[in-house]
Amino acid sequence: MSAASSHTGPEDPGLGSGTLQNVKKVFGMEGASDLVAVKDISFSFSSGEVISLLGPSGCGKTTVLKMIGGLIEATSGEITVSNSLVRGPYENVGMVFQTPTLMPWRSVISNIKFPLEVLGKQLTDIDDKAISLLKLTNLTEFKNAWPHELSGGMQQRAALCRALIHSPEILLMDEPFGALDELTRMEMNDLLLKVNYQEKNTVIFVTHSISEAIYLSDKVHVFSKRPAEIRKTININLPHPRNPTDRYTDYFKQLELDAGEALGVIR
Amino acid sequence: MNGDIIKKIIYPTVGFIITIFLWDRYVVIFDLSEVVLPRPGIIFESILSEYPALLSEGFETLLACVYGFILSIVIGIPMAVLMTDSKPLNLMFYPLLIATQSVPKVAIAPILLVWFGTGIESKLAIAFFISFFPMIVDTATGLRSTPKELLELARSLKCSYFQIFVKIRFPSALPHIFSGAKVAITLAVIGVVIGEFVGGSDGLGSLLMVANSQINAPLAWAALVFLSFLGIFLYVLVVLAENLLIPWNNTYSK
Repeated sequence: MSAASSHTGPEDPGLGSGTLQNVKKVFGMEGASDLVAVKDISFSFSSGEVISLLGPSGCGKTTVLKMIGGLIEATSGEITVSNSLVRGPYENVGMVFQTPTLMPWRSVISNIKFPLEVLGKQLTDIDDKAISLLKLTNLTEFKNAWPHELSGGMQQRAALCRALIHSPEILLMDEPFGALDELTRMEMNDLLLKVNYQEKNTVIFVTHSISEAIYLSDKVHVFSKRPAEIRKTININLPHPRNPTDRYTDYFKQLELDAGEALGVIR
Repeated sequence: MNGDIIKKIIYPTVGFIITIFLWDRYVVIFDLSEVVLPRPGIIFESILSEYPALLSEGFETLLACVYGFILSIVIGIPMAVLMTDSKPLNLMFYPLLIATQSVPKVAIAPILLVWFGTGIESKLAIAFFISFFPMIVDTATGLRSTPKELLELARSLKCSYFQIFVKIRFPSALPHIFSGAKVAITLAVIGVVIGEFVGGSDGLGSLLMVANSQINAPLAWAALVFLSFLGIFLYVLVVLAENLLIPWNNTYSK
């Protein structure tokens, strides 16, 4: 991607990379025994990679994601992102949730610029960045619309722009396309990859869809039921850029089978 | 579009005319005395002949309603903020707040009259006392129902308490605040009229009392008509303000 010369990835290869070392999370419950959400998780990711955390609902994968983002503190173990220890929220992270969570009182463009506003970043090229993101996600003509005037997929695209506006090194996505219909979801998968090829940031993607995880990722960590442990790590050796027909290759099906077995849905 | 006009204007108008006609026939057929129930036409005549008094008294009532409503906003909203964001304050004063609402408002009117006299102050006090409760409760509900994920987004961007309040919690509470305001404005009118009944020397409420004591039923009914127009007018003003200030709130537009 020589066209994206202004954004050829971080200068320091450590930016956007990270490590989780024996991470454990126990939630103290009032009047009940403590809940072990995450038992012992270790993995690492390098800059620009797309990593999926695949597992059943309620298995603790979202907790892992939030710990990487500094929103939840690990009970024990160490998390390092971009060469520094995670001790709380930090700027270089973009978040996309299951629901778009746009602010209904702000126009699309104003929602997208929100992070810059609160981070107090006065980038000279804010508008350029916003415009290029809108273009990338086909939202240019809706930039002044109210969020409720957009479809679910369009809202989620706007949420993706918002997460990327401050050029974070790492993008955390918590089942972002889980509420969309299958066709929209496949479109969003390709869009996310397109964005990733341009922005070069690391993506940590939580999902419970096997094919989505495989299609998007360089590496899929298959989680057990709660308390979360990594059952299996699957390396995805599909060529970049991905092509929708990849989904129907024998290799892809073999990967799906592997993931299904690791999840315990195929015995 | 045409169907819309028929539904929204023609039908209600026809219903209104039928009601007025039946009312008129009822009075004539059963030969009711004017004191019991005046014919609609007579009330209309009374409005025509007494409109200067109705207008000036109506203006007094209107002012009191607006002031009382503003009071319940400027006091109610900050109180709601304090009670949602401070657990101790909530625990200390929420029960008391509920208790104030179990006191019949009419019963407290004479006491407020002793405290504030027969001027506008006692009317405001009653209007406030009766209308601040929905303001507080709805504002508090709104402040508590900020989407969890928006708060998480704010936290990941390291927003301060103040930023979260101004940029996220307060705007997201606005639809609730307006639904509280719509109840509050209606209650403020009731409060002011109670005040005028009990001890006021001006306003439509006291005009109504005077007309009643003089057995001038048409004038009493005329005052009643003005009061209902006043209530509708104020309610519509709040709805207009809502549409103007939170155009993104599409609960009514669709």
